[in-house]
Amino acid sequence: MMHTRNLILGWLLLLIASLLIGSMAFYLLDKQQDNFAMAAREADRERLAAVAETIHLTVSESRDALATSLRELPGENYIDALENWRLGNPLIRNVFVWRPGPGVIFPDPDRPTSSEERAFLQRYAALFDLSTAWALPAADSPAAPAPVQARRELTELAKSRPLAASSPRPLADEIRTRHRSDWRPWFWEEGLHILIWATDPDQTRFGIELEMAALLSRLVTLLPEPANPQEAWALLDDRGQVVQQRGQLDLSGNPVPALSLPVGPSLPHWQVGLYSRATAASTQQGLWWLGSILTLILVAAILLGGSLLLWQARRNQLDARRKTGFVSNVSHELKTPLTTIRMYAEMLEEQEQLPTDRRRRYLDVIGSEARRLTRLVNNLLDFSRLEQGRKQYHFQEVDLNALLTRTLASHATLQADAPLELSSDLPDTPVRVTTDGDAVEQVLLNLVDNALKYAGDGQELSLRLVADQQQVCIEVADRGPGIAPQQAEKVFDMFQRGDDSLTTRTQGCGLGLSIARQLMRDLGGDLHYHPRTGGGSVFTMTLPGATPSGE
Amino acid sequence: MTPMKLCINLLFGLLLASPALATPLVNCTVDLDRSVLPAGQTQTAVIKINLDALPFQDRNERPPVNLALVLDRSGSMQGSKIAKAREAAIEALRRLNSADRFALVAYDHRVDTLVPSQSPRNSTWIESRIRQIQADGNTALFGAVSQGAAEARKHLGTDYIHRVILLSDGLANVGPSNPADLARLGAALLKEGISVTTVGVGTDYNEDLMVQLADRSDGNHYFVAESRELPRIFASELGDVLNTVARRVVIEIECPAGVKPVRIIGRDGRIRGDRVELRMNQLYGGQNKYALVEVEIPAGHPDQEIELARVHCRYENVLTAQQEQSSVQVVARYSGSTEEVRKSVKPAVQKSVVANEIAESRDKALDLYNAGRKDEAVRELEQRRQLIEQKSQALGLPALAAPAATLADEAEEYEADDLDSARKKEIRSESYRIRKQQKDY
Repeated sequence: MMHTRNLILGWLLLLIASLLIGSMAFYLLDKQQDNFAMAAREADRERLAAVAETIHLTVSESRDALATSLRELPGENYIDALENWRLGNPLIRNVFVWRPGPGVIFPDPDRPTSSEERAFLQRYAALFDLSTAWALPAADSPAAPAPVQARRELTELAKSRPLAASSPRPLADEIRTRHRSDWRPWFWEEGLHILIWATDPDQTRFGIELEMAALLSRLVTLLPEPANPQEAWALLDDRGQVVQQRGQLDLSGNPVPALSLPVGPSLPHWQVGLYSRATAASTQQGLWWLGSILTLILVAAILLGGSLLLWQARRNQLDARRKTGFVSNVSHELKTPLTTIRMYAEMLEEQEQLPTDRRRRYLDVIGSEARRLTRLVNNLLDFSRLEQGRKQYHFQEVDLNALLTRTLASHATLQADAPLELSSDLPDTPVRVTTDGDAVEQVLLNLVDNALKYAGDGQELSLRLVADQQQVCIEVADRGPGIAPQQAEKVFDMFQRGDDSLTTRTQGCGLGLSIARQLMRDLGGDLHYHPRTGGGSVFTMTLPGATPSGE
Repeated sequence: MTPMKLCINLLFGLLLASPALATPLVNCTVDLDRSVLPAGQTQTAVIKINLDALPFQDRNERPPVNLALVLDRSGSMQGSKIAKAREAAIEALRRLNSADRFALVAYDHRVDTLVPSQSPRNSTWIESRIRQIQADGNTALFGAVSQGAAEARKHLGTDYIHRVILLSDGLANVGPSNPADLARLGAALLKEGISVTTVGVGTDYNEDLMVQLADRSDGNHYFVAESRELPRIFASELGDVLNTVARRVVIEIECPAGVKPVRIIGRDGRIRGDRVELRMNQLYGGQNKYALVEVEIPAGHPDQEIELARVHCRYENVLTAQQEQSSVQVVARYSGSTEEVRKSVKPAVQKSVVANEIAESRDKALDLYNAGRKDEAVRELEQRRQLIEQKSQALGLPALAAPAATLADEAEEYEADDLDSARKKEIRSESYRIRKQQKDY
């Protein structure tokens, strides 16, 4: 069918469109999420870089300050000065004096005074016996980054004194110009060590080893407290072990940091790391899920709404078609008795000299057709009333037994026409129910009419009334062709008639059973169809319980 | 109080005060293991340098204390340990007065300063902070000590007695956790005048780390098997800290030509050529600390007198913030008579030497045992026992050999691998107490 195809086509278009919108939304969402993640990573990187720089600057500055003090060390014999300095300064772990010829002259390599000195001499043996160059390979020690250089220069500037200053200074200044200071990182078993030394004009090198424990201990306060409680900062040593941490995360087991940056040349191979408990990602994940769900809901809503509209359109189309059919049916139904009436009326008019019996028969036909017309119109009226819910019922006590008998009697003429054998099975006592007698009669007549119309050649129409306390049943059974099972419930729908074969053969507008069922339901009962054993159909009218008879 | 009594009190006060002004705050005396040396042979002698610090005349006169408590709140502290630790912290707080400074750092895998260094005046708030401590997490010991030191450092350069008290029951597992790393941190802190007292609770902490940290920073060390002892230990520790009368104590021993210092028994120090230098961060009033230095002495003639060393003791009087100094000369005499030599033996000095040697041996044996060298550990203890027994026989002092008997028992324990964690901690803390002359609590 053309229409159905269009509808399916429309629905498919809708599906494609909404899927497109959906996937577009997903794509954008994904992209947005990537952007968010990238921005967050960038911000983290910057914060981390700031921390790394602070640490680097601090270490560089303390190292420079130590180098400066070293250059200004007074006296010809450095040993005492160095030793006193070591005893007083927590940043100094060991001190040494080295000469090109004999090598280390302090601490005494033959008689180290403590295990610490022994370990120190062993640690730097390669350096002291010149098997390793003192100066660093250039690649390992890039020039200090600009901020460090600038700060260093500023510090120097701030420290400069007026030239006319008092006595000991010129000496120190002179020494400083004579001395050169240098430093290098040194990796030994337990990790990084830093050696700072000065070289005097006769190539004697004297210097200190930085106390890393004290330095690290001071660096604790340099790590900022992370703003986000799900994050932690950590300073990682050259083996990737956490040295210091800030923040509430548990870093035991040395997890891999989410982000890490080298501290800088002052602590080679050391890193600052940022750890986060994946919630930063998971809030974005949450956003993604929310977006996805919303998108899915949108797509579902579009599809559902579209389908609903299409379904509605299709229903309207069917309705319209049914109503057109109905109108033509009704017109036909109205036209048939009218034609008959007119024809007989004309015959009566033209043939004035008719024998009485023929004349009488003509009048009977006119009467019966007129009644049929009335019934049809009544049905239509009922239909419209029922549709609008304006049908009014007049409940009163009715003896169904009498009602049935009366109805059958009034149909005697009809039955006389049809080749039907009418049998009725009624109880002996009156069956009294409170109901609208007219409505029940109308339904009954409808059923009998139907039987006559569709099962006229079945030769049998039986009527049965069964009453008990709960309900009253009136059965109208015939021996007609019956109704196919798949049509069994549809016959009660509006504008529906048993099947096409029937429709074509006999007239009717398809309202009767629909109205009948509606009426019965309004009365508190119902109307059902069953196939009859042995062929034919049974329509059962039920009504709520009978009032006990006789009393 | 009647005017009469007041007068008497004043009089007594004056009488008591005047000798106190005359005698130095820290009385530095020297002793030899025997004052008469056998002639005609090179030999060694042990010089014992005693430092006796006077207690405060007036309890209210003490200098202010800058205390930083560092409490372990890692998961293992749960239950009665943390409860007792809180109680002990409050006990410590109550012993301070408003001139002092109090800081509290609590740590698990992270380090939080719960009470920044401040006067204990606001004790209600501080106590409420202490009571909020809950145990959970890992052990960032290095960071915690650093943070405690950072709090103490806020008042550095003023005339406070600086002290960090570290309480821990577990292994350091965040940040540097080598005993050597912590020892170096302790040494660095000592240079700033901050001593770290370590309190190990239970049997799971690293005794080497805790002992070395205390050792290198010249604090006390306590091993507490039962957490209910904590408040008492804190009280004892505060008793020491509040009694600090002298600080930055330097003992310098100069030997004249011919006499050569060989070793320092028990304590850490430096021997450089003919000079020995020993440092202590503080002396507690009413307590005796000593150092034992062994010197090599050349042969001499009978009746010849020889100067063995000149001992200089420098320290800072905490009340006056003045440097004070005293010097003593160590002189011995040679004699041809063995009887005279035997008579001159000082049992007290010998006892100190033996006690310190035993302590050193026990430490060394434990080190060897921990390094998986059980046999060497047993041999070390056995050798020490034999040496001491020989010495006590040679000197005719049987009492000297008495403590050596425990070495035999201990050697058996080593042999049987019967050394649990608690026992190790006991050994470490006992020898620490002997080597540092830490008072019993």
